[in-house]
Amino acid sequence: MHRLQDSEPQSDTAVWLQDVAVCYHIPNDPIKTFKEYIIRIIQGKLKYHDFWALKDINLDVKRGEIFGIIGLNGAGKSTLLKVISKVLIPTKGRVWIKGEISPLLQLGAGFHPELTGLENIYLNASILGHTRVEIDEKLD
Amino acid sequence: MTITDLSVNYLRVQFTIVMKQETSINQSIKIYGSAQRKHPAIEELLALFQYRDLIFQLTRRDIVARYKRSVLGIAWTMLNPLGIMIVMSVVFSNIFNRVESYPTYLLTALVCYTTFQQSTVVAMNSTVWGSKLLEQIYLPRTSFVLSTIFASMVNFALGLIPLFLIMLITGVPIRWTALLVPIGMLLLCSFSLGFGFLLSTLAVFFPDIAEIYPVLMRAWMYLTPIFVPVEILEKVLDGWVLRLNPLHHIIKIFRDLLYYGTLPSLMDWGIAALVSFGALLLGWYFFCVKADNFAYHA
Repeated sequence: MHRLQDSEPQSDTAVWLQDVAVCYHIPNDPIKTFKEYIIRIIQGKLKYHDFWALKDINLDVKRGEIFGIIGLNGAGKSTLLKVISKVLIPTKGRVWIKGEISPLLQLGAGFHPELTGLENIYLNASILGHTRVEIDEKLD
Repeated sequence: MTITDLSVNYLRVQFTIVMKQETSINQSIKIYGSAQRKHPAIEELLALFQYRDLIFQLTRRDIVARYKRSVLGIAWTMLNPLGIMIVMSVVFSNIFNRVESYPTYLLTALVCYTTFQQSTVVAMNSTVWGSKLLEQIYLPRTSFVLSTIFASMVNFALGLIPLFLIMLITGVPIRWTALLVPIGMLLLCSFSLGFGFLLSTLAVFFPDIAEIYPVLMRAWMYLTPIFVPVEILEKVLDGWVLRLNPLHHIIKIFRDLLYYGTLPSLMDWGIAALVSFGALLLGWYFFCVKADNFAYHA
Protein backbone atom coordinates (compact mmCIF):
# COMPACT_ATOMS: atom_id res chain seq x y z
CA MET A 1 0.00 0.00 0.00
CA HIS A 2 2.98 2.26 0.19
CA ARG A 3 3.43 4.23 -2.95
CA LEU A 4 5.46 7.17 -3.95
CA GLN A 5 3.13 10.09 -4.38
CA ASP A 6 2.87 13.81 -4.66
CA SER A 7 2.16 15.87 -1.59
CA GLU A 8 -1.07 17.22 -3.07
CA PRO A 9 -3.87 15.35 -4.86
CA GLN A 10 -3.70 15.65 -8.66
CA SER A 11 -6.59 16.65 -10.86
CA ASP A 12 -7.27 13.02 -11.83
CA THR A 13 -7.15 11.76 -8.24
CA ALA A 14 -10.32 10.33 -6.74
CA VAL A 15 -9.25 8.93 -3.37
CA TRP A 16 -6.13 10.22 -1.70
CA LEU A 17 -4.73 9.36 1.71
CA GLN A 18 -1.64 10.84 3.30
CA ASP A 19 0.04 9.34 6.39
CA VAL A 20 -3.30 8.14 7.69
CA ALA A 21 -3.28 6.49 11.09
CA VAL A 22 -6.12 5.23 13.25
CA CYS A 23 -5.68 4.60 16.93
CA TYR A 24 -8.26 3.01 19.22
CA HIS A 25 -8.14 3.80 22.93
CA ILE A 26 -9.16 0.60 24.62
CA PRO A 27 -9.77 0.47 28.37
CA ASN A 28 -7.54 -2.10 30.06
CA ASP A 29 -10.55 -3.71 31.68
CA PRO A 30 -13.65 -3.64 29.50
CA ILE A 31 -16.29 -1.21 30.75
CA LYS A 32 -19.83 -2.33 30.07
CA THR A 33 -22.01 0.03 32.06
CA PHE A 34 -22.24 3.63 33.20
CA LYS A 35 -22.13 2.42 36.81
CA GLU A 36 -18.80 0.67 36.20
CA TYR A 37 -17.45 3.76 34.45
CA ILE A 38 -18.27 6.04 37.40
CA ILE A 39 -16.85 3.53 39.89
CA ARG A 40 -13.60 3.28 37.88
CA ILE A 41 -13.24 7.06 37.79
CA ILE A 42 -13.74 7.33 41.56
CA GLN A 43 -11.25 4.52 42.16
CA GLY A 44 -8.83 6.16 39.73
CA LYS A 45 -8.48 2.86 37.90
CA LEU A 46 -9.53 4.11 34.48
CA LYS A 47 -6.54 3.24 32.28
CA TYR A 48 -6.43 2.92 28.53
CA HIS A 49 -3.98 1.40 26.11
CA ASP A 50 -3.50 2.41 22.50
CA PHE A 51 -4.13 0.11 19.59
CA TRP A 52 -2.95 1.30 16.20
CA ALA A 53 -5.26 -0.25 13.61
CA LEU A 54 -3.66 1.70 10.75
CA LYS A 55 -0.31 3.40 10.51
CA ASP A 56 1.23 5.56 7.78
CA ILE A 57 -1.20 4.69 5.03
CA ASN A 58 -0.59 6.49 1.75
CA LEU A 59 -2.93 5.95 -1.12
CA ASP A 60 -3.60 7.58 -4.46
CA VAL A 61 -6.47 6.12 -6.46
CA LYS A 62 -6.94 7.74 -9.84
CA ARG A 63 -10.31 8.30 -11.37
CA GLY A 64 -11.59 5.30 -13.29
CA GLU A 65 -9.17 3.00 -11.51
CA ILE A 66 -10.38 -0.25 -9.97
CA PHE A 67 -8.67 -0.73 -6.68
CA GLY A 68 -8.80 -3.80 -4.45
CA ILE A 69 -7.57 -4.27 -0.93
CA ILE A 70 -6.60 -7.69 0.37
CA GLY A 71 -5.28 -8.70 3.73
CA LEU A 72 -5.57 -11.12 6.60
CA ASN A 73 -8.26 -10.96 9.26
CA GLY A 74 -7.64 -7.94 11.45
CA ALA A 75 -5.26 -6.37 8.97
CA GLY A 76 -7.30 -3.18 8.92
CA LYS A 77 -9.16 -3.47 5.61
CA SER A 78 -12.49 -2.50 7.08
CA THR A 79 -10.94 0.25 9.16
CA LEU A 80 -9.36 1.68 6.03
CA LEU A 81 -12.69 1.61 4.21
CA LYS A 82 -14.37 3.29 7.17
CA VAL A 83 -11.80 6.06 7.03
CA ILE A 84 -12.44 6.52 3.31
CA SER A 85 -16.20 6.60 3.77
CA LYS A 86 -16.05 9.30 6.50
CA VAL A 87 -17.32 6.92 9.16
CA LEU A 88 -14.06 7.11 11.10
CA ILE A 89 -12.14 10.33 11.46
CA PRO A 90 -8.43 9.41 11.23
CA THR A 91 -6.33 10.02 14.34
CA LYS A 92 -3.55 11.37 12.14
CA GLY A 93 -3.10 12.21 8.50
CA ARG A 94 -5.29 13.46 5.71
CA VAL A 95 -8.11 11.93 3.70
CA TRP A 96 -9.23 13.60 0.51
CA ILE A 97 -12.13 12.35 -1.60
CA LYS A 98 -13.49 13.70 -4.84
CA GLY A 99 -16.91 12.43 -5.81
CA GLU A 100 -19.45 10.38 -3.94
CA ILE A 101 -18.94 7.31 -1.80
CA SER A 102 -21.55 4.54 -1.92
CA PRO A 103 -20.82 1.86 0.62
CA LEU A 104 -22.76 -1.37 0.09
CA LEU A 105 -25.07 -1.65 3.05
CA GLN A 106 -26.55 -4.73 4.56
CA LEU A 107 -29.63 -5.43 2.46
CA GLY A 108 -32.59 -3.58 3.87
CA ALA A 109 -30.61 -1.86 6.61
CA GLY A 110 -32.53 1.36 6.35
CA PHE A 111 -35.84 -0.10 5.22
CA HIS A 112 -38.92 0.28 7.29
CA PRO A 113 -41.72 -2.30 6.96
CA GLU A 114 -44.49 0.22 7.66
CA LEU A 115 -43.60 2.42 4.71
CA THR A 116 -44.57 1.84 1.08
CA GLY A 117 -41.97 0.88 -1.50
CA LEU A 118 -41.78 4.38 -2.91
CA GLU A 119 -41.43 5.91 0.56
CA ASN A 120 -38.62 3.45 1.31
CA ILE A 121 -36.82 4.46 -1.87
CA TYR A 122 -36.88 8.09 -0.76
CA LEU A 123 -35.74 7.20 2.76
CA ASN A 124 -32.84 5.00 1.65
CA ALA A 125 -31.69 7.32 -1.09
CA SER A 126 -31.56 10.14 1.43
CA ILE A 127 -29.56 7.93 3.81
CA LEU A 128 -27.06 7.63 0.96
CA GLY A 129 -26.92 11.41 0.84
CA HIS A 130 -29.08 12.22 -2.16
CA THR A 131 -31.42 15.18 -2.13
CA ARG A 132 -35.11 14.90 -2.95
CA VAL A 133 -34.61 16.69 -6.26
CA GLU A 134 -31.94 14.17 -7.31
CA ILE A 135 -34.21 11.24 -6.41
CA ASP A 136 -37.14 12.78 -8.26
CA GLU A 137 -34.96 13.07 -11.36
CA LYS A 138 -33.80 9.44 -11.24
CA LEU A 139 -37.12 7.87 -10.29
CA ASP A 140 -39.48 8.75 -13.08
CA MET B 1 -23.59 -16.40 14.12
CA THR B 2 -26.49 -16.22 11.75
CA ILE B 3 -26.39 -16.03 8.00
CA THR B 4 -27.22 -12.32 8.02
CA ASP B 5 -24.30 -11.61 10.38
CA LEU B 6 -21.99 -13.42 8.00
CA SER B 7 -23.29 -11.55 5.02
CA VAL B 8 -22.77 -8.21 6.77
CA ASN B 9 -19.13 -9.01 7.36
CA TYR B 10 -18.83 -10.23 3.83
CA LEU B 11 -20.36 -7.04 2.50
CA ARG B 12 -18.09 -4.93 4.65
CA VAL B 13 -15.09 -6.56 3.08
CA GLN B 14 -16.61 -6.34 -0.35
CA PHE B 15 -17.36 -2.67 0.24
CA THR B 16 -16.99 -0.95 -3.08
CA ILE B 17 -16.34 2.65 -3.79
CA VAL B 18 -18.37 3.95 -6.63
CA MET B 19 -17.01 7.13 -7.97
CA LYS B 20 -19.33 9.21 -10.01
CA GLN B 21 -16.89 11.41 -11.77
CA GLU B 22 -18.98 11.97 -14.86
CA THR B 23 -21.91 13.49 -13.07
CA SER B 24 -24.49 15.56 -14.85
CA ILE B 25 -23.64 19.21 -15.37
CA ASN B 26 -26.06 20.60 -12.82
CA GLN B 27 -24.47 18.48 -10.11
CA SER B 28 -21.27 19.81 -8.62
CA ILE B 29 -18.63 17.30 -7.57
CA LYS B 30 -18.42 16.88 -3.82
CA ILE B 31 -15.02 17.08 -2.22
CA TYR B 32 -14.22 15.83 1.26
CA GLY B 33 -10.98 16.66 3.01
CA SER B 34 -10.44 15.45 6.56
CA ALA B 35 -7.82 18.14 7.17
CA GLN B 36 -10.24 20.95 6.35
CA ARG B 37 -12.66 19.95 9.05
CA LYS B 38 -13.96 22.71 11.28
CA HIS B 39 -15.01 22.25 14.88
CA PRO B 40 -17.33 19.18 15.12
CA ALA B 41 -20.28 21.29 16.33
CA ILE B 42 -20.06 23.52 13.25
CA GLU B 43 -19.21 20.66 10.88
CA GLU B 44 -22.41 18.92 12.00
CA LEU B 45 -24.53 21.99 11.21
CA LEU B 46 -23.10 22.17 7.68
CA ALA B 47 -23.65 18.44 7.16
CA LEU B 48 -27.24 18.75 8.33
CA PHE B 49 -27.92 21.42 5.78
CA GLN B 50 -26.61 19.08 3.09
CA TYR B 51 -28.73 16.20 4.43
CA ARG B 52 -31.87 18.26 5.15
CA ASP B 53 -33.97 15.94 2.98
CA LEU B 54 -32.90 13.00 5.13
CA ILE B 55 -34.23 14.74 8.26
CA PHE B 56 -37.51 15.29 6.48
CA GLN B 57 -37.70 11.64 5.37
CA LEU B 58 -36.84 10.33 8.84
CA THR B 59 -39.36 12.61 10.55
CA ARG B 60 -41.97 11.47 8.08
CA ARG B 61 -41.09 7.84 8.75
CA ASP B 62 -41.45 8.34 12.52
CA ILE B 63 -44.88 9.94 12.16
CA VAL B 64 -46.20 7.46 9.58
CA ALA B 65 -44.88 4.44 11.49
CA ARG B 66 -46.52 5.56 14.71
CA TYR B 67 -49.95 5.99 13.18
CA LYS B 68 -49.92 2.89 11.05
CA ARG B 69 -49.01 0.66 13.96
CA SER B 70 -51.98 1.23 16.22
CA VAL B 71 -55.52 0.44 15.18
CA LEU B 72 -56.89 3.70 16.49
CA GLY B 73 -54.19 5.64 14.67
CA ILE B 74 -54.13 9.36 15.30
CA ALA B 75 -56.98 9.08 17.79
CA TRP B 76 -54.69 7.15 20.11
CA THR B 77 -52.34 10.10 20.56
CA MET B 78 -55.27 12.13 21.78
CA LEU B 79 -56.93 9.40 23.85
CA ASN B 80 -53.78 8.46 25.75
CA PRO B 81 -53.30 11.70 27.74
CA LEU B 82 -57.08 12.01 28.07
CA GLY B 83 -57.26 8.61 29.76
CA ILE B 84 -54.49 9.43 32.22
CA MET B 85 -56.06 12.82 32.86
CA ILE B 86 -59.44 11.29 33.71
CA VAL B 87 -57.90 8.78 36.12
CA MET B 88 -55.75 11.43 37.82
CA SER B 89 -58.62 13.92 37.99
CA VAL B 90 -60.86 11.41 39.72
CA VAL B 91 -58.13 10.49 42.20
CA PHE B 92 -56.67 13.90 42.93
CA SER B 93 -59.46 16.44 42.48
CA ASN B 94 -60.74 15.72 46.00
CA ILE B 95 -57.29 16.14 47.53
CA PHE B 96 -56.44 19.26 45.59
CA ASN B 97 -59.96 20.66 45.55
CA ARG B 98 -58.74 24.24 45.96
CA VAL B 99 -57.50 24.22 42.38
CA GLU B 100 -60.11 25.53 40.01
CA SER B 101 -61.00 23.29 37.02
CA TYR B 102 -58.37 20.76 37.97
CA PRO B 103 -58.57 18.65 34.76
CA THR B 104 -57.32 21.55 32.64
CA TYR B 105 -54.68 22.44 35.24
CA LEU B 106 -53.44 18.86 35.08
CA LEU B 107 -53.69 18.30 31.35
CA THR B 108 -51.68 21.40 30.30
CA ALA B 109 -48.69 20.14 32.27
CA LEU B 110 -49.28 16.48 31.43
CA VAL B 111 -49.18 17.08 27.67
CA CYS B 112 -45.81 18.86 28.04
CA TYR B 113 -44.37 16.26 30.36
CA THR B 114 -45.39 13.22 28.28
CA THR B 115 -44.06 14.86 25.13
CA PHE B 116 -40.73 15.52 26.82
CA GLN B 117 -40.49 12.06 28.34
CA GLN B 118 -41.53 10.09 25.27
CA SER B 119 -39.54 12.14 22.79
CA THR B 120 -36.30 11.80 24.74
CA VAL B 121 -36.76 8.05 25.19
CA VAL B 122 -37.47 7.57 21.49
CA ALA B 123 -34.53 9.83 20.57
CA MET B 124 -32.24 7.74 22.76
CA ASN B 125 -33.40 4.40 21.33
CA SER B 126 -33.28 5.73 17.80
CA THR B 127 -29.69 6.95 18.17
CA VAL B 128 -28.61 3.63 19.68
CA TRP B 129 -30.25 1.83 16.74
CA GLY B 130 -28.76 4.35 14.32
CA SER B 131 -25.25 4.01 15.73
CA LYS B 132 -25.16 0.54 14.13
CA LEU B 133 -25.91 2.17 10.81
CA LEU B 134 -23.35 4.88 11.51
CA GLU B 135 -20.63 2.24 11.67
CA GLN B 136 -21.26 1.43 8.03
CA ILE B 137 -22.12 4.70 6.41
CA TYR B 138 -21.67 8.39 7.03
CA LEU B 139 -24.75 10.32 8.10
CA PRO B 140 -25.04 13.44 10.22
CA ARG B 141 -25.15 11.86 13.67
CA THR B 142 -27.73 14.26 14.98
CA SER B 143 -30.31 13.09 12.36
CA PHE B 144 -31.94 10.52 14.60
CA VAL B 145 -32.44 12.79 17.60
CA LEU B 146 -33.67 15.65 15.42
CA SER B 147 -36.17 13.59 13.46
CA THR B 148 -37.70 11.85 16.49
CA ILE B 149 -38.12 15.10 18.42
CA PHE B 150 -39.63 16.87 15.41
CA ALA B 151 -42.09 13.99 15.05
CA SER B 152 -42.96 14.31 18.75
CA MET B 153 -43.73 17.98 18.26
CA VAL B 154 -46.32 17.01 15.66
CA ASN B 155 -47.83 14.68 18.25
CA PHE B 156 -47.79 17.50 20.77
CA ALA B 157 -49.80 19.68 18.43
CA LEU B 158 -52.34 16.86 18.08
CA GLY B 159 -52.40 16.49 21.86
CA LEU B 160 -53.59 20.09 22.11
CA ILE B 161 -56.91 19.17 20.47
CA PRO B 162 -58.22 17.14 23.45
CA LEU B 163 -56.83 19.84 25.75
CA PHE B 164 -58.97 22.49 24.06
CA LEU B 165 -61.94 20.12 24.29
CA ILE B 166 -61.46 19.70 28.03
CA MET B 167 -61.14 23.48 28.40
CA LEU B 168 -64.50 23.90 26.65
CA ILE B 169 -66.12 21.22 28.81
CA THR B 170 -64.75 22.49 32.13
CA GLY B 171 -65.55 26.08 31.19
CA VAL B 172 -62.02 27.48 31.07
CA PRO B 173 -62.09 30.37 28.58
CA ILE B 174 -59.69 30.08 25.66
CA ARG B 175 -58.08 33.51 25.46
CA TRP B 176 -55.92 35.13 22.80
CA THR B 177 -52.78 34.09 24.72
CA ALA B 178 -53.35 30.57 23.35
CA LEU B 179 -52.02 31.94 20.06
CA LEU B 180 -48.58 32.16 21.69
CA VAL B 181 -48.45 28.40 22.33
CA PRO B 182 -46.16 27.86 19.28
CA ILE B 183 -43.48 29.91 21.07
CA GLY B 184 -43.86 27.62 24.06
CA MET B 185 -43.54 24.65 21.72
CA LEU B 186 -40.30 26.07 20.38
CA LEU B 187 -38.95 26.21 23.94
CA LEU B 188 -40.14 22.69 24.76
CA CYS B 189 -38.67 21.44 21.47
CA SER B 190 -35.23 22.91 22.09
CA PHE B 191 -35.14 21.68 25.67
CA SER B 192 -36.12 18.17 24.56
CA LEU B 193 -33.49 18.30 21.82
CA GLY B 194 -30.75 19.40 24.23
CA PHE B 195 -31.65 16.79 26.79
CA GLY B 196 -32.12 14.16 24.08
CA PHE B 197 -28.60 14.84 22.78
CA LEU B 198 -27.03 14.43 26.21
CA LEU B 199 -28.97 11.27 26.89
CA SER B 200 -28.29 9.72 23.48
CA THR B 201 -24.55 10.31 23.73
CA LEU B 202 -24.42 8.50 27.06
CA ALA B 203 -26.72 5.71 25.84
CA VAL B 204 -24.49 4.92 22.85
CA PHE B 205 -21.55 4.30 25.17
CA PHE B 206 -23.38 2.77 28.12
CA PRO B 207 -26.30 0.40 27.56
CA ASP B 208 -27.49 0.67 31.17
CA ILE B 209 -28.53 4.30 30.64
CA ALA B 210 -31.74 2.97 29.08
CA GLU B 211 -32.54 1.31 32.42
CA ILE B 212 -31.50 4.23 34.64
CA TYR B 213 -33.49 6.81 32.70
CA PRO B 214 -37.06 5.68 33.58
CA VAL B 215 -36.15 5.84 37.28
CA LEU B 216 -34.83 9.37 36.83
CA MET B 217 -37.97 10.34 34.93
CA ARG B 218 -40.24 8.99 37.64
CA ALA B 219 -38.45 11.11 40.25
CA TRP B 220 -38.50 14.13 37.95
CA MET B 221 -42.26 13.75 37.47
CA TYR B 222 -42.93 14.00 41.21
CA LEU B 223 -40.66 17.03 41.55
CA THR B 224 -42.51 18.89 38.78
CA PRO B 225 -45.92 20.47 39.41
CA ILE B 226 -47.91 18.26 37.06
CA PHE B 227 -50.66 16.84 39.24
CA VAL B 228 -49.40 18.32 42.51
CA PRO B 229 -50.26 22.05 42.59
CA VAL B 230 -47.39 24.54 42.42
CA GLU B 231 -48.29 25.90 45.87
CA ILE B 232 -47.47 22.58 47.52
CA LEU B 233 -44.11 22.02 45.77
CA GLU B 234 -43.14 25.64 46.48
CA LYS B 235 -42.80 24.75 50.15
CA VAL B 236 -40.31 21.95 49.45
CA LEU B 237 -36.71 23.02 50.21
CA ASP B 238 -37.66 26.72 50.20
CA GLY B 239 -38.79 26.50 46.57
CA TRP B 240 -35.39 25.43 45.24
CA VAL B 241 -36.90 22.22 43.89
CA LEU B 242 -38.92 24.34 41.49
CA ARG B 243 -36.28 26.98 40.80
CA LEU B 244 -33.72 24.39 39.74
CA ASN B 245 -36.24 22.38 37.72
CA PRO B 246 -35.98 23.35 34.04
CA LEU B 247 -39.24 21.57 33.17
CA HIS B 248 -41.13 23.68 35.71
CA HIS B 249 -40.11 26.90 33.95
CA ILE B 250 -41.31 25.57 30.59
CA ILE B 251 -44.57 24.16 31.97
CA LYS B 252 -45.20 27.49 33.70
CA ILE B 253 -45.27 29.21 30.30
CA PHE B 254 -47.90 26.76 29.01
CA ARG B 255 -50.02 27.08 32.18
CA ASP B 256 -49.98 30.88 31.95
CA LEU B 257 -50.92 30.87 28.28
CA LEU B 258 -53.62 28.20 28.44
CA TYR B 259 -54.93 27.66 31.96
CA TYR B 260 -54.70 31.20 33.37
CA GLY B 261 -55.01 32.93 30.01
CA THR B 262 -52.45 35.53 31.00
CA LEU B 263 -49.24 36.71 29.40
CA PRO B 264 -46.18 35.29 31.22
CA SER B 265 -43.95 37.98 32.70
CA LEU B 266 -40.81 39.02 30.87
CA MET B 267 -38.80 37.34 33.63
CA ASP B 268 -40.62 34.01 33.10
CA TRP B 269 -40.07 34.15 29.34
CA GLY B 270 -36.40 34.97 29.91
CA ILE B 271 -35.78 32.10 32.31
CA ALA B 272 -37.61 29.58 30.11
CA ALA B 273 -35.69 30.75 27.02
CA LEU B 274 -32.36 30.62 28.84
CA VAL B 275 -33.04 27.11 30.13
CA SER B 276 -34.27 25.76 26.77
CA PHE B 277 -31.69 27.27 24.44
CA GLY B 278 -28.95 26.71 27.00
CA ALA B 279 -29.84 23.01 27.11
CA LEU B 280 -29.87 22.85 23.31
CA LEU B 281 -26.43 24.46 22.96
CA LEU B 282 -24.92 22.34 25.70
CA GLY B 283 -26.45 19.12 24.35
CA TRP B 284 -25.44 19.91 20.77
CA TYR B 285 -21.85 20.66 21.77
CA PHE B 286 -21.50 17.55 23.94
CA PHE B 287 -23.06 15.28 21.32
CA CYS B 288 -21.00 16.59 18.39
CA VAL B 289 -17.70 16.41 20.25
CA LYS B 290 -18.38 12.83 21.34
CA ALA B 291 -20.01 11.69 18.08
CA ASP B 292 -16.68 11.31 16.28
CA ASN B 293 -15.96 8.51 18.76
CA PHE B 294 -19.18 6.58 18.05
CA ALA B 295 -17.51 4.54 15.31
CA TYR B 296 -14.36 4.11 17.39
CA HIS B 297 -16.38 2.69 20.21
CA ALA B 298 -17.61 -0.36 18.28
